[in-house]
Amino acid sequence: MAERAGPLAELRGVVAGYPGNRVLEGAELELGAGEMVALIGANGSGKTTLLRLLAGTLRPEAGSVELFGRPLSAWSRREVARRVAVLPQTSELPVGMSVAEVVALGRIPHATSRFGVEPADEEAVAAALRDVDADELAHRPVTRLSGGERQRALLALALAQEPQLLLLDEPTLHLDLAHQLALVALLGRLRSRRRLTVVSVLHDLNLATSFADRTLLVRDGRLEEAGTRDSPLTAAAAAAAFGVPIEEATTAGGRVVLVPVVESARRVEPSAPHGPIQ
Amino acid sequence: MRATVAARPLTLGPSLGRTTLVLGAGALLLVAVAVAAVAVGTTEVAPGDVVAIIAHRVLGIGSVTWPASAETIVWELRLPRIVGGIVVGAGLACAGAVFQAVLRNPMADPYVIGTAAGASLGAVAALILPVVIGGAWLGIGLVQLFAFAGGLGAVLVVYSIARGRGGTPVVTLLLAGYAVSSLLAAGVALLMFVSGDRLAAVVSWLLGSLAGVSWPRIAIAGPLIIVSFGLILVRWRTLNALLLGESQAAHLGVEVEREKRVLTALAALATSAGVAISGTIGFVGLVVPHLLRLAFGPDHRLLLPASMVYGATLLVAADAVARLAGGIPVGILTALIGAPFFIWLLRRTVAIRG
Repeated sequence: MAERAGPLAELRGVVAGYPGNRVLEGAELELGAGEMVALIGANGSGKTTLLRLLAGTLRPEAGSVELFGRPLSAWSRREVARRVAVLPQTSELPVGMSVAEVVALGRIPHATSRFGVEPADEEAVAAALRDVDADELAHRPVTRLSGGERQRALLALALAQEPQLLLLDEPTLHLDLAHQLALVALLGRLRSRRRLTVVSVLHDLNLATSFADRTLLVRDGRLEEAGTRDSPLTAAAAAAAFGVPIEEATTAGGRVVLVPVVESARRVEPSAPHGPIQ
Repeated sequence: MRATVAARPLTLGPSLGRTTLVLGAGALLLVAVAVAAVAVGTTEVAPGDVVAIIAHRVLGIGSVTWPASAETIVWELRLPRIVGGIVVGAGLACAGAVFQAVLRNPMADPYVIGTAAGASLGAVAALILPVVIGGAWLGIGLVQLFAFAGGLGAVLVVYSIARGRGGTPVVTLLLAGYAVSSLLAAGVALLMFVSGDRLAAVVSWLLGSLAGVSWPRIAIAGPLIIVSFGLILVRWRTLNALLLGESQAAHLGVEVEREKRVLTALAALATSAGVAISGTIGFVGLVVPHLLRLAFGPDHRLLLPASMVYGATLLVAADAVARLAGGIPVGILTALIGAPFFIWLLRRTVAIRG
């Protein structure tokens, strides 16, 4: 628990991006242990860039990134991979492997022996499968998974790394509504069961506010606090972030939700000589 | 909570039994094919005598019960060719497995990023050089030396062309390999055009053959291939991580750019060493790892050693057939068998996937 004394991750004045495309300019972040943080922001605003900084796969051009109290440059890739796991936006799954074999790839940063599989690896894989309710998928070939099962398998792979920090890039992409809700609920359970810190990019604002302790908005190269459990994301802040009108509505159950104002695509009255569209 | 009890234990990779079975069966097959290949030819030698002669020469056991001519045929003529086939076939198939993983392309073969074209240019240049420099050195001809250097040099050039600030993108690597190979092939064509009476030798080298393999050449190429195989095999976790893509591999703690460089260098080393003693033999390095991946899965713990064993078996068998078929270069035969087989495989895959 010694590593938990300070913030888990700390960004100070971070400037980062790609050749010819600076994305973050002066980003500040303090991430506490056990937090669940949602990242929102327009496409290209730098959400993925921020995740890459936290995963240590992108070095800042200026400013400092500290993970677990040490500067990013002081960690080896393997050391980071034992503490930080990533569920990417898209991932290929190796044809010809079973779910358990793919999840076992998450043990790579912990490998101690030349060729063998250690008992600790078997335990970690079994626990990861159990925690994402995927025991029954263990022997299934990865080519025969549905979208939701695939996402759970990839999440189990990340958990097999036994991370303290879990980063997710739009994990609900391609999932239907039921699976989106199930995934968010699962992340909540994982946080308490594994004492995880979770940072997730989410596009659905209501999903973000119900999931997160803190909602961070990435805009103009910076990070802004956009809401907490006590003072949730407001319609005004969300509207400013995405540049579209957003209204607040209160449900019958008394919950405040954000609703984008969609200009209704009104049905055009058919005119002669066309008949009514069936 | 669900009351499920794991019915089957988790399998997290190829089991010891499966590995032993796949590699053991391959090794037995290789021995059988090798003994048969030594036995057959214009002068038949009984398989029993083949085994006895080898045991006598290697282990110094048994008494001589065979004619001296049989021993010469076995030990001086056929065995080097077969051991050469083992070394080259194993090296090519293993390098193919690595290139397919690193380049993330099932159509990649050991020659795809310039090794073949570079080695060809080196060998052809050496074959038609007007002055013979130094001649043979330790039985390693100038041709082998130039081919080896050409193969490695071409990969170095390709890699430095493709290398950018943020790393070396695989697609750029493939395109650079194609461009450099084309340029070098033009050089080979030009040299062939001016080669005059050396043309036959040039063509025969380009087609790929194990006819010229000798013990000293094996003694140089063999260790190079074995060492690079060893250094590749200990990187099986890296290769497995790359199955998920480069960014996921990085998230699993792999220093992707460094490992890509190291693996490319090792595979290019094995390829160049093989090509130097045999010429450019095609299809072994493409078909063998591809097929084994389909049969036994993509885990490199099993795929790499299996590629070596089955690649060796395939090349030894193909070379024996080529020898029996009137001594046609084995490179022609591997393409003749390999290409239709590969087409069949593609069609079958298409049929399965719909």
